[in-house]
Amino acid sequence: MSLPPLFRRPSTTLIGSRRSTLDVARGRLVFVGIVFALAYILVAARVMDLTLIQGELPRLARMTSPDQGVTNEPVIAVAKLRGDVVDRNGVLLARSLKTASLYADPALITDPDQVAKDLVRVLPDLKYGDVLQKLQRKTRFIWLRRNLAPQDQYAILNLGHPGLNFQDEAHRIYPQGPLTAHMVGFTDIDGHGLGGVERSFDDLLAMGNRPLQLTLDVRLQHIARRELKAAIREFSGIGGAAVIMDVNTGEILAAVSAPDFDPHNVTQKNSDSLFNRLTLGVYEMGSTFKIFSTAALLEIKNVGMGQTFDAREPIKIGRFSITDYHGQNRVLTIPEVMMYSSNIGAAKMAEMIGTQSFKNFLKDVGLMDTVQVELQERSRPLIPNPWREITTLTASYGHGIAVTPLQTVSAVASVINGGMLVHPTLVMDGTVNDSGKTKNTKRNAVRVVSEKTSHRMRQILRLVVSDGTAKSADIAGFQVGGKTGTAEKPGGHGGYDRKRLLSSFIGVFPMNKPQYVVMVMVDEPKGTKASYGYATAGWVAAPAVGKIITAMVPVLGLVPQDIDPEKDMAAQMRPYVKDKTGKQLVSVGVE
Amino acid sequence: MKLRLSTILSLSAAAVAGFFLFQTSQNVQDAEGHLRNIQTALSKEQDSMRVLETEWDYLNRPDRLEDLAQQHLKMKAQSPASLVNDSSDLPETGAPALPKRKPEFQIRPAVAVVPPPPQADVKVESLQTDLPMPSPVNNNAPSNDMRQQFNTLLNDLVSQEPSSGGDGQ
Repeated sequence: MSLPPLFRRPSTTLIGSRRSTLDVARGRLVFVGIVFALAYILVAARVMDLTLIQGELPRLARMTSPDQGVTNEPVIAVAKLRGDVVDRNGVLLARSLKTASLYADPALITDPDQVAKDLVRVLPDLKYGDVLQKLQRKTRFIWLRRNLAPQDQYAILNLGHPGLNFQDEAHRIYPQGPLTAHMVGFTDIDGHGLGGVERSFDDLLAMGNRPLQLTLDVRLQHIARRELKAAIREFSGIGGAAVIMDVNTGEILAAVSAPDFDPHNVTQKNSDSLFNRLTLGVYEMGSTFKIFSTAALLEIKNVGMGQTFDAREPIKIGRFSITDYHGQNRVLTIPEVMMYSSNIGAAKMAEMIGTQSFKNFLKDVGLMDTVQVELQERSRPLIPNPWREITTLTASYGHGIAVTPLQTVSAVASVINGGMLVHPTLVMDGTVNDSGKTKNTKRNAVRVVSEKTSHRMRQILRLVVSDGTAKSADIAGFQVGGKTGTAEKPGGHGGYDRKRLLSSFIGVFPMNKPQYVVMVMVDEPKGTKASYGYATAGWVAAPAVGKIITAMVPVLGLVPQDIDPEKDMAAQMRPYVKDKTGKQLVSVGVE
Repeated sequence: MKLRLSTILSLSAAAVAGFFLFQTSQNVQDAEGHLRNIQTALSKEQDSMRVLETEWDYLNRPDRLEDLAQQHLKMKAQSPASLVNDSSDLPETGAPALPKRKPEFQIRPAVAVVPPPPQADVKVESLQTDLPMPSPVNNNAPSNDMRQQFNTLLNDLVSQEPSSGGDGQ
């Protein structure tokens, strides 16, 4: 070995038996040394493994991976908050907030009297005696107040009393209050969804990854709710519903059911207001069904507008008798049947279509099945079984078959928008993908009526508003079209109650290129002096829809168009129509 | 016993290594404490942002805005009929009265992302080594001054019109 002298081992040369003993000892020492060295290397390797390979590297990889930035991964473990629900513009409809709940440890409180006094001063809704009694209990934990507002928590911290502590809890807040109550729904105190999308998307919201975006627009929602409530109040109704829907996509821009409730404070006492009349209530919708019988007639029988129906005599079948409300007592053309809302005419139309074809048509537009919408509060329509001939006749003007208002609206949208079937939807596309559920119901190309039939229906519905029963919904510049429906509700013993009505109006605009469908329905309206005692849809629901459309214009930035009367959608229908005195309605502007 | 040079050298090397190890470990502990503070502050800031966003949307309820507009603006909604009458005077498209979407709803970063300046490398170094503690942001409640101002403002509003806010009924 030619090592430098500095590191050269000092050596003494031994000989004889001593030498062999020393060799053995040295060998043992080297062996023990190697064993220890191995042990240390093992420990060091394990330390490296635990700290670097299993500890730091995955964390670094997580932090640098693009989709999970620092903001998505709070290092301080917080309880996962339930996901937000927002409207189509990103306005919050529901959000879980961390709130502090106040509890006391009575063992640490020396002066319960003073503490109780201070607490009552900060939180005026607590009762002094109540708090004092709680603070004197022999326990180590007692809730004083759940879910404090931040400023209240601050005030209590400022008091500086020992023994008052806070625990973080999640509290569901609905900033819009009752505005979207039925659609967004509500949760119980543990954050489980019990209604609306809170219930139908419970699992998705519980994961809390990203907000659930609804198609609602709070501004339109407010307009619909305001006008619906005004109509209900004016005509002393017991409830009602209103919808604004995009006719081409089925997106629900506003959906209101009245009476509604405060989602923060749901009790079984107000179970009537929890009821969603739009999707859970089934009603005989009345004359709005004439839209479907007329469309079916045009589509299946391919008849001309001049086709007439004798409406001079009531139809008598057994003990039933079908009569007209706005009786004209003459032979009516198709546009006249719609315009004067003739039950006799509609029944004769249905007779001409035939039972099976009419049933098939109703099934095609989705009126025979449960409405497809992302809520669990849905009802099946009530369809008479067996379906008799008489049912065909009564169904043609919306009696004897009970459906949900929402599916009626979407069926009208399907007929009007050019003939493509739409399904109502409450959730924006592309937001539901975390749970693996994908929406497949939207924009599926199913044609229910031809382009031509759809165009004819637009002309007829425009005529109903410009000259017929719904003039109060005619908003200048938007060519509103629609159909009124005044149904009598079933009475106590088999028949119908003439006093208890269900007045609804379904309006579509602009008729030359439909964009929005607006529906207002008022349950059991009573006539007023201003309406000459009438509680029919033309007096109750049509003006409300008119007001809704008027208010929608500035919100959506719609541009009204000044249309020549000759180019109005109703103009081509007028030659087929006679006015109430039987005079031909040719010239426009007679009104 | 005579100390050999090799022993001295290895002992001092061990001492130096130990010193640096100790120092590094101290630095790491400092940095971790620093990181923890920042993260606490960040999460508190996020919490208060959530609260403030909720409050903002609560205060911008359509019914409340409608009440306030009626009380203060002395303006009426334009009727479509009045628009039709002289629609030739209007420009082609009317801008919506309110912005259709809230800006940047889809991506709402917790901290505004500033694009790095051209020579960012040097700056990042200096940022990481000697960053001063951020000013305390953990207070969810506003300062006394702010509260005072807000209360005065609120009292002014309330004394002018008793029914501001409310349910719009």
